[in-house]
Amino acid sequence: MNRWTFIAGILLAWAAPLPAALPADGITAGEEFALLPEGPGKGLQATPAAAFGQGLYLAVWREGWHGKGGAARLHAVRLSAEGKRLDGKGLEVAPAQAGVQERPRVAFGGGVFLVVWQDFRNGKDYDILAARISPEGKVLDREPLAVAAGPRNQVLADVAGDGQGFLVVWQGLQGEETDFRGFAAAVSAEGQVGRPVETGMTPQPKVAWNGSQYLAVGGGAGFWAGKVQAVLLDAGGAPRGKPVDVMGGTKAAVFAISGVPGKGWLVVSHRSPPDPWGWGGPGAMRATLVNAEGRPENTDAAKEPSGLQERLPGWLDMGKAKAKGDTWPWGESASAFDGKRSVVVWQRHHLCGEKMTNFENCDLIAARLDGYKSLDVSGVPVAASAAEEKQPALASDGAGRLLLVYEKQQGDGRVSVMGRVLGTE
Amino acid sequence: MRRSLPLTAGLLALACGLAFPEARGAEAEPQDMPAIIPDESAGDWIVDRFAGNSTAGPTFFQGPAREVAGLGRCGACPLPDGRVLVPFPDGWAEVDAGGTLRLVAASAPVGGTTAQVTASVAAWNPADKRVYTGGANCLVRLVERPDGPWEIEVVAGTPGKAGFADGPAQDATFTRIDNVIINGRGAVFILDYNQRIRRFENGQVTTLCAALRGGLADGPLDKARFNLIGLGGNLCAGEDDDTLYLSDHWNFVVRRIDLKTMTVSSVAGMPKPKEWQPAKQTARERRYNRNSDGPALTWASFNSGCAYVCWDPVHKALWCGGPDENRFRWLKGDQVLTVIGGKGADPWPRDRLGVPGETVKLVWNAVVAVDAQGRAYLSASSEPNGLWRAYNRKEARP
Repeated sequence: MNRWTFIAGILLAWAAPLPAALPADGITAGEEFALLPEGPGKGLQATPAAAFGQGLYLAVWREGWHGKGGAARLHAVRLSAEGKRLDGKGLEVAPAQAGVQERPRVAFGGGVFLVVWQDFRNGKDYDILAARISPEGKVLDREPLAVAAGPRNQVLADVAGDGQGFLVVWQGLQGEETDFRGFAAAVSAEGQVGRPVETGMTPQPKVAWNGSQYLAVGGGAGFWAGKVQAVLLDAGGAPRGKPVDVMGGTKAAVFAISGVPGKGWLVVSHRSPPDPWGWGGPGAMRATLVNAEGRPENTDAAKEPSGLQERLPGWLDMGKAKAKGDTWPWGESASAFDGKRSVVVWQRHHLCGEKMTNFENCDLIAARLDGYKSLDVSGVPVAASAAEEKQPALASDGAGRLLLVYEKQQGDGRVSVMGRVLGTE
Repeated sequence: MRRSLPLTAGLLALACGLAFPEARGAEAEPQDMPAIIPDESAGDWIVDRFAGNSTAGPTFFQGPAREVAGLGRCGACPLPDGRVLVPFPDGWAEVDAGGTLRLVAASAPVGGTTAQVTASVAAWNPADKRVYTGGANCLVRLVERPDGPWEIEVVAGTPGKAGFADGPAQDATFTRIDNVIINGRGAVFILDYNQRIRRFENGQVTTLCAALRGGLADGPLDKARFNLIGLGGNLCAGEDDDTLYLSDHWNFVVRRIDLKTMTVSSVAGMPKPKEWQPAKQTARERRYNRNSDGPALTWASFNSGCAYVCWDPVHKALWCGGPDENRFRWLKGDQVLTVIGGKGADPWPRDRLGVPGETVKLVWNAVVAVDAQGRAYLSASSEPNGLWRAYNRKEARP
């Protein structure tokens, strides 16, 4: 390819039609509020999650230090569809004498919320526990449900509800093995825990219900093989086929998944981090629509063109330049279906450091999607103060309104869990 | 097979001595030399997964050290009581004597772990029994708390205020603290932004050397020249309180700094030869940039620069290497020798225990610390999740 062909290619790629941008107020962000001001965690709140059911939201998060000597506990609060807190002091999900409770996830089904988490109660390794909470704000399981309580680490649980019950996924080690495996177990709305089955989805398994079936995704291990895979699961968690690559070329992948009724599921994950050599190419926050057969609609997400430098249709955001003030999408994201289309919120960092490869001042950016294509091409800042806003989670009422919850890291080391109600056109 | 290695190494050394008169002090230039020359202990090293798991993914969680995730490119700081502190991109973790890894601080270390390979991110200070490390434009120390995250105290410099100003601790400024070294007297040496070597002692910050970028010259420290680049330089302690070693990255050479005489000398590696065309190069010059073993200043070389140095007080040797090597080598006496790796039978040891050192193949690697038993802590950026630990089965326990 000569230089002029190359330049023409760049210009053509630049001029290629992107989805038409709608007004930025296609997404509106309400006032920021604290989920539990003056919580018991001594200024340490983290990893929020949220779900919607029976006209209200349940948000759950970690309160307190979860490292050595810590006693982190999970707390929850109910909120109205308008974002009004219904539990002034919050709810403690699983009071306990020892250990730390971490990484809660929550779903609604069969008239109850199910909170799942990893619990370091024995001081040596994690178990996966769960507890049901009624829409009236009552914890229904005085003793947590043991989803995976065997020896060795059982971690990183996720949960989805099919309207009647739940499916919990996690990764764990068995016997003397050194490789993690992915598992799933059904949990009924009455609190019955099903038999664990192996899914093949690991590490970091996540699961979503799209109105007719479950899809689990997993991936992110290794430096060279950080792809994201997906597999359909039946109601008991058994895989219905072999894993399929849905997103490739991802280093240290973390990802979000949500159901898209009638179409499939939306999977979102970042691309390359900035590096001094530019080996990984541009950064991006990427979306893939996985269809009802469990296969990606936009196949260029699973197998990107080599030498890629320009934005693909499924890219929601992009990081390329490496100068002071430039930004780079990277890390956690969240997605939900608002009743008409998917909405995604992701982390966008400002670059800093000698080589402009470090991050500072993370903001949260949102976009509505038509399938896997962004309708808000530049992204809409929904939490963009001078503090670091990270770790977004979304829940939707299915009628154009969503609850966004996230960590807000203050400069003095305190971290608060905040919320905003988002509205979509 | 393993039992015969010392004999093999001995025969090889003898063969080298016969074939290469230079190695035994004769004047004639040898025609060639093997790229890999095993240390006599090479067959005795065993590598275990120490912390992290290759299948666990990038999201951090705690637990049995070999079952945790999210350590990324990390360092190690062995403590006198047997615990090992692990600085990683999202914070600090501790591996206790029972092998359980717990988070102790969620504030990320600054500097070292962002480099391609690194060592000496943090150091134990015997004077006040605290771990010192780099903060944002400042030198900090970790203060243990029984029921919460460890406190991070600023010792010198001001967070967020970049510079190279010397003076009293509160007035001094730092730009980016890449390495922290502490000698037996509690003097702290800092590699600052890969541009200057600073010292913090008796409440005062001073600059020992400000010419770390550009040139290659031994001699008095104030006239010596180095060629560090933005990434990859590494300072470490040496055999006594007055010796430092520096991986002089873009000179491809290990430099020794004698603080008593304030002089610098090159001790291993091969700078870029003047003759660049391979056809015109000597056999020795063709070993440039090829991680070759052998006599330290004539036949040994590093690959893609000299990225790390780490002094081993038990074996009286200096672990050293370039960023693109997949063996672990040390400078012992006047020879650079392969200790771990070289046979390449395994792609890497993954998460197993008891892997013969000769078969280990960790890429973009470094020895990040050596503990009081002579066990070496290994990192590999190609598999960015945690640490391995190597030990000589004849000397140390796993």
